[in-house]
Amino acid sequence: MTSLEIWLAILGIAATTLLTRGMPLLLPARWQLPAGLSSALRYAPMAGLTAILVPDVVLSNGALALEPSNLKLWAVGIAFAVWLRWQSTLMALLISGGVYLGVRLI
Amino acid sequence: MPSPCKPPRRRQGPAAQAWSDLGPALVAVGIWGVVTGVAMVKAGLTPWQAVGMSLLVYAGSAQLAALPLMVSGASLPIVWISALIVNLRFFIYSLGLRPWFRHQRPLVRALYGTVSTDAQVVAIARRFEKGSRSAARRRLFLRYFQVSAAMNWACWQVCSFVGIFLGGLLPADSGLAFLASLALLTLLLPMLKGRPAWGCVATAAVVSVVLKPLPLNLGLLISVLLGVAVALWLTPPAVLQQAPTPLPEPNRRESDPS
Repeated sequence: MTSLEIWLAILGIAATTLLTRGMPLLLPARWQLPAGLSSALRYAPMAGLTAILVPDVVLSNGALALEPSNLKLWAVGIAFAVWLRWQSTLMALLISGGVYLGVRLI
Repeated sequence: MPSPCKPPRRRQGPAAQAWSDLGPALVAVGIWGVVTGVAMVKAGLTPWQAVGMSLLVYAGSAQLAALPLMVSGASLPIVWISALIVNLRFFIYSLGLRPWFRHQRPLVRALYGTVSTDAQVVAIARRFEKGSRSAARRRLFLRYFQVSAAMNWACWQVCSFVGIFLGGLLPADSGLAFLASLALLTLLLPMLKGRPAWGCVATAAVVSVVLKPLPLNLGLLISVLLGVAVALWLTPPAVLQQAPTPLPEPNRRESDPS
């Protein structure tokens, strides 16, 4: 890509940010979501985070990697366990991340 | 004469609540920022193009999705459509935020929408979905939103710049990228309460893996839509008729110390 094309790409991607995040807030007030859909929207962030996270954990070069040598699975398991035990997200992140990086170093 | 008794503990204000809720999430945001900064420079963008992208786009997943396409010389419409599809989940998020900003001017509403992020929307869902939208509560919400948006934005930009200008010092495969995913998991964990939430997450997990090979990151969008659809299906009809519906109780130890 030329420098101009790179800047055009950047501006276009910026426009998609504005379009998807800003536009819904500009819809007229009379445009109402059905109550059921409005209720379901609170689950969108959960689904979004899951859809970003899970393929990164269970796929390796496009193939399923559910074997014990997959360190990422262990790290996720540890994060779950720490969360269940102490209900602390920070502790879950620090311990699971520490174990993951530590084992990689070894 | 001062009382020897300890003063009653003060209730946290919205700014302190935002700090308290988003503290762990900022670790995730920061790591994502560094990873994205490094990725932009490694993809061949000059440092100033990368800075421009970080400031103008402010969407890590869209940036990371678009970079390989830019490197491979894909046409501009393909780059834009890919970014649009990755960003579409924010359309759903912003629809959820809409009732809170109804009384703001259009430009302000658009600005608030544009600076909203995954981590912030999760924190808002945990703290504000339950209860009324009275004028007083809307003011609290607005302050909470402003502080959390400013924290997110500053953290993202600073860490992105660190990645852009110092990323060359990191080893090629430092494992940092997965720490960002792990940090996303810690945002998700407190929300996993009730059948609809588990159904939503299980569906999004399976669909995102199965549809990962789809072009333009379409799998991400379809996962979100199907995850939400399953949550809706599992929610009891009586709960669905109330809008907004109660969220699972926020984690008392971390999110609501008041």
